[in-house]
Amino acid sequence: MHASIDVAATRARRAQRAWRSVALTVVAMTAMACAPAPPAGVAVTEVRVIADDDPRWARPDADDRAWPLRPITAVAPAAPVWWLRGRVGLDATAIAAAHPPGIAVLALASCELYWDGVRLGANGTVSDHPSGERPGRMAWLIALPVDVAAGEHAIALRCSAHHRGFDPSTGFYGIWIADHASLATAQLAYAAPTLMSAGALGTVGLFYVMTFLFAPRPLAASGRARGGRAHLWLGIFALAAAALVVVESARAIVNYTYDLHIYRLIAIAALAWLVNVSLLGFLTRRFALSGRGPVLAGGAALTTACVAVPGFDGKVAMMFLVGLVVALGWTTYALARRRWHAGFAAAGLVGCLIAAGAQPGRFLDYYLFFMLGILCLGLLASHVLVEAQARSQHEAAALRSARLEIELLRRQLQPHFLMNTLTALSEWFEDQPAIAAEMVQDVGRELRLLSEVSRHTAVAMGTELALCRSHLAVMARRRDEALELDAAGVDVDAQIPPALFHTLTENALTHNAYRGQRAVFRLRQSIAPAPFATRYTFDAPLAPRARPPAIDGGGTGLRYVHARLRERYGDNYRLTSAAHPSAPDAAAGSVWRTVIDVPTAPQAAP
Amino acid sequence: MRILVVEDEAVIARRIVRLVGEILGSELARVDTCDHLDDATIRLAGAGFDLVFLDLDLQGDDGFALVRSAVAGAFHTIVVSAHTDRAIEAFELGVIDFVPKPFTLARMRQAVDRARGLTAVTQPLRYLAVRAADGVELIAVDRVHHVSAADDYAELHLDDGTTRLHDKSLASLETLLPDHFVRIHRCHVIDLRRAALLRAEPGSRYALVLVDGTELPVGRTRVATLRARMI
Repeated sequence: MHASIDVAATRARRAQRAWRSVALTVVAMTAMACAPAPPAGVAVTEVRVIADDDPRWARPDADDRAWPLRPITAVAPAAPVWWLRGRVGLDATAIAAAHPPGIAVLALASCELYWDGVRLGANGTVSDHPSGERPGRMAWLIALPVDVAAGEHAIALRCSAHHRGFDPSTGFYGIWIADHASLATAQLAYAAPTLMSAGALGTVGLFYVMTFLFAPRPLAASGRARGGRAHLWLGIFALAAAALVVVESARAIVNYTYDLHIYRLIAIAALAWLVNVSLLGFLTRRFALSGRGPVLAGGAALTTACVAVPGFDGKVAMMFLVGLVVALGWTTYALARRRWHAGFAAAGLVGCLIAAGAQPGRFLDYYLFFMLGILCLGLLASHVLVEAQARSQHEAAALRSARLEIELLRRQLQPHFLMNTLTALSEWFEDQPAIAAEMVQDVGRELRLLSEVSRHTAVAMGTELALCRSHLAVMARRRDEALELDAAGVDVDAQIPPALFHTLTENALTHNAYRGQRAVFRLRQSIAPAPFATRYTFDAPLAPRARPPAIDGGGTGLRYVHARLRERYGDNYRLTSAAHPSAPDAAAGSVWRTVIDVPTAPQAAP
Repeated sequence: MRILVVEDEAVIARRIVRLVGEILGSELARVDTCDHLDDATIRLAGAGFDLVFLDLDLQGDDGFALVRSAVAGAFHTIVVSAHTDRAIEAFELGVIDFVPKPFTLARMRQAVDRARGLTAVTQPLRYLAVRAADGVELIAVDRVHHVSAADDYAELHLDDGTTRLHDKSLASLETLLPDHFVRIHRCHVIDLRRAALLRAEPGSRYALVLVDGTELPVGRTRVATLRARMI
């Protein structure tokens, strides 16, 4: 009674803690989501791309009207060295705000910048040949003249991009004019919230990977092996998500040269693949239902197939779409199978699909971290609650096991067994000391075996049979009866719950007086009908005048047997117990037959 | 002395028989053993024994129903059991002794001596078991006014004016009854707490008047003892 109250209270406390952590993380993520915007100032939005390397294109008055005007994000190399020309209007307010002024260029190219025909500097070395080009940095910030005047200004960039290593959908991300200090910090300010989420995700990831690797077995593996693998999957997911966010933000932290960009994109695609596969791995392990193997394999294959989608952004977006949809399908299936804790994971998945759908354009650059945060929250909530439930069940099971161990030991210390044995010993000591010495050995052997088996939830059949035979030896001496156990053909290495057949033997002896007759107990092992694997048939001979029920039909003995079977196999076993006309190979007399079907083959662990 | 041993473990039954044989020697006229509740019930219903040794656990059956039946018999009952937690209950029902297992010759001798009246019984008796048409009726000792001899039986006079016949003789019952029950006459044992007046009558005879007005004769040899107890 007290135990059940304790377990319920512990469960309530854990659920409360889980909710508190989730709520705190939601607040933190929401605060981060209110983060800022791309660099402020004046942006150059449209440019002309000129496939002609001529120094006159630097001049502000060069006639470039023959070249098409296009959005800056749609700029592609048109020649080994090409020019990019644009105009920007600065009014007095803009000039006042941008003081001291600077210009930032974000591009996959090396370039030289001309402001109103004046060369301000170069990012890398522009060349018409790959060997002559020194790649420029992705983000390039350069100061504008402090006395820049109001009015329209001409910007010209001489560019080459031989080292991209791939054909991007866009080679230019933007040109901004603002005060120098803002431009210098804008990238970092933009990346800061995402990096914070990377820290949170990384912590979660490390915690669960460490838990899987180093936590005591009951927490990470053992009987909860499925929970243990879920720890690992969740850890991988969170670490991969953290790494993805960090690599996504790498441009702001490490201003690398543009030729390295391809490697960053490959890393992003690989991490996106890992995030999605580990997401599926976690969910299929956490909510272990039939068909999880094919779903995980199919989901991983589909995610891998997304590599065929053109463009890195396309690949990654499609990977997330496939991963999230398959994951949502699995959690919905889990919910349909009454795995209610899957609801949190489903909510996280729906939340991140909404987040991704709301801002598809900025999804990978900015909302990715938010999406992963929401998703991780949902997964964490599901995981924590399932773990809390599993731990409660584990504690209850441990309590039951402890009670069963005590019950088994107490049965041997109960007055009827112990005092009758001592009384019989007294008689032999006085009357036949040699037999008394043998009897002491028999009792010692039985108590030793009992002490050994009582600590375990499963023992080898050989040990169990030795225990039964010890008990029969003690009782045969006490009762002046010939008691035997025939266990021909039984696999002695099979693992079974402790003292099962010992209890059945004890029950039979309690209720039957064989009056000096030879009584043979029989244990047989056979293949059980589906869905079970192994059948044990135990026949206890019925004494001619046994009082019905001859063997405990529902008393403490049989309750103990049920409890031990349930401890090992859950509800996945079958026990029947009834009088039987006669054993097939018995000479005569009826037996009390107990048939136990278990789900495991003799050598297999459940 | 005729003995019945009710014990389902052969070695223990053998031990009881051997020890009782040593204790009683030639006094032991006959020993029977039985190992089954049904057998024991039948055997106890019939007469023919002076002393019964009773185990409380026969093939998993609770032997207390058997104790209730046994203590209503004419013979004395000694319980031999591992269940010492039930000793008080057994004494309250009227067993002459409770021998816990495992036991020695000395302990068994003490029990047999009690049954033979050689040693006083100091354990509390709370009930007297009386055979009734539908089994055994337990009568609280506090309800017993006085007990009178009725041939080989004893007649219990209860505080509601009714009587019951007990299979035990008055002498046998006297060994079981608590201290405040006093023999005042060859044929009467009274509850001293209910004695109101010891009255001398003509012819050097004495009568005891109980609180409910019942008058009982007092044996001449017992007057002094009774008077001393009443003061």
